[in-house]
Amino acid sequence: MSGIVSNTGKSERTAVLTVDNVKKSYGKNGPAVLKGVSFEIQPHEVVALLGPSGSGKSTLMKCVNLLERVNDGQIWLGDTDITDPHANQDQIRSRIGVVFQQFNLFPHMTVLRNVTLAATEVHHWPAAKAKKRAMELLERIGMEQKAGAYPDQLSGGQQQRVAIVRALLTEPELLLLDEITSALDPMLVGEVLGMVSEIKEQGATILMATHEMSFAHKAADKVVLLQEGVVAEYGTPSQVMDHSMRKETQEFFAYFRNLD
Amino acid sequence: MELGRRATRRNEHIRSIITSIVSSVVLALVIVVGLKMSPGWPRVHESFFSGKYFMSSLPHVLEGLWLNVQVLLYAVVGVAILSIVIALLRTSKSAILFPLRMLAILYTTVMRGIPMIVILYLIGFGIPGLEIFPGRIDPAILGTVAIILGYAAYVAEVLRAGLEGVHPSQRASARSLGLSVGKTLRLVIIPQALRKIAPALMNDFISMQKDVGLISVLGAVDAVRAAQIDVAQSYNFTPYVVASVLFILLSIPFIILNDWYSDKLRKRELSGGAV
Repeated sequence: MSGIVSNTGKSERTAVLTVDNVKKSYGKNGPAVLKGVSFEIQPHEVVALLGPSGSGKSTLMKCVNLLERVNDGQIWLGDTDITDPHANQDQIRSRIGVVFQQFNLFPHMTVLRNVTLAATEVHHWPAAKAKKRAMELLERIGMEQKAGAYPDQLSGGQQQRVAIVRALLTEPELLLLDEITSALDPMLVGEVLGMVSEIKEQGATILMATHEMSFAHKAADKVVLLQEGVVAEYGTPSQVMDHSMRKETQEFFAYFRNLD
Repeated sequence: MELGRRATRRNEHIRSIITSIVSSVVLALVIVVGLKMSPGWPRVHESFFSGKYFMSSLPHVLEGLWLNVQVLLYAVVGVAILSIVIALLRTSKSAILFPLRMLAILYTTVMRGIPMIVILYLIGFGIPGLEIFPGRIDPAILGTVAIILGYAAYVAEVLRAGLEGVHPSQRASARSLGLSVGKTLRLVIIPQALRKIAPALMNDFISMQKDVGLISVLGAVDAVRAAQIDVAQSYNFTPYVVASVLFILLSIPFIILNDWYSDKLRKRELSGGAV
């Protein structure tokens, strides 16, 4: 209970997440969005999923989160094939923590209720235990005073940090962060990314789709660059972002360097 | 200079108050004088606003109103259940529910097209005609069923608008937490939908409150029917006025509640919504 994150890896398969040749298109004859994507996430790794809009980042995130079904290939969460149509989807979802770009929190519930909802309703924790754990985590991010507040009384950055606490409360095996700073005022991006760094330090396993290139460079262990539905690059931030020989990769990162 | 401006502002304020008082008085005078000067006024006054008949019919009509209130209570529960089922069917996407979804669309379309009084006749005289149930069915029960069937169609459409108005990522968030379809609906989607449509629902409730008076056409002795009986005995129409006054009194608390709540929602939205 020392950190926000539990770091008890217990599966036999070493990878927390294995994406194996995943293909996805929308509709029967729609264009292929993912054309055979493969990569792995080891325990305690932070993997940044980069790529231009339309490269398939959010589709991949939705497939991992079971909001979309893959057409072909497999996704393993530990030893569980989550793409198996017979798998218990609610149970799998409860093992993955997710934070979206915006509208994460339920506006009609207090911060505390938002954070404890899954613990009491899905994991059947006693209310007292859920509350105690929630208050510990809120205190750690300095928001215990806001436990009784409603989401619309918080800043966007505070909302996203509460959403991260909510995703972490029941100690998921994997944390999915889907462009969690894209809708934020630039002033508020720092506090949210700071919290991501902190939970990384504590050993969380994270897959994050992001446009924050300098953060990805600094905080990620591995980078997956998606372009047009395939993994164009996979490696450490330095390999992919600084030393790639591939022309399209260089052009993609050069564009962001010019923005900074 | 500042003092002069203040005086001017104060004068403008006083003048606007005086103007509104004068215009109200003039309007009231026009209506009252117009009524009083009309050639038939004495007769109308006697046959609609007679103090004697007012007092004599009040107990009967009040007793009838109690039936209306009971019908209203049952109807509210019935409408709530039926409309939620219809709205959930209409917004469902599962393939197995397809026929029920079509049925729900057909139902809301047809029911909203039929005048309420015709629904009452169809149910009130049609159901006994089927002879499924032995003996005579209380017209108040038939009337309640008709009101429920008619109003559920309206309320279901309001609910559907509310359900569809909840941001799709709220559902995604809830499902991501591992909540089942049922819990997502019950804990996340429906509470938010109800909040958004509360003013529209209250409006339907106020409208239903007076439409329960229509069950009198089936012979149930409610406030309207009680008034009708008194009118038939005395040839004086004051009992109808009695019924109207009682229905108005019944609706006023809810109208005030509705105005207050709509105002509160509006203020909350103006003061900044959720990110």
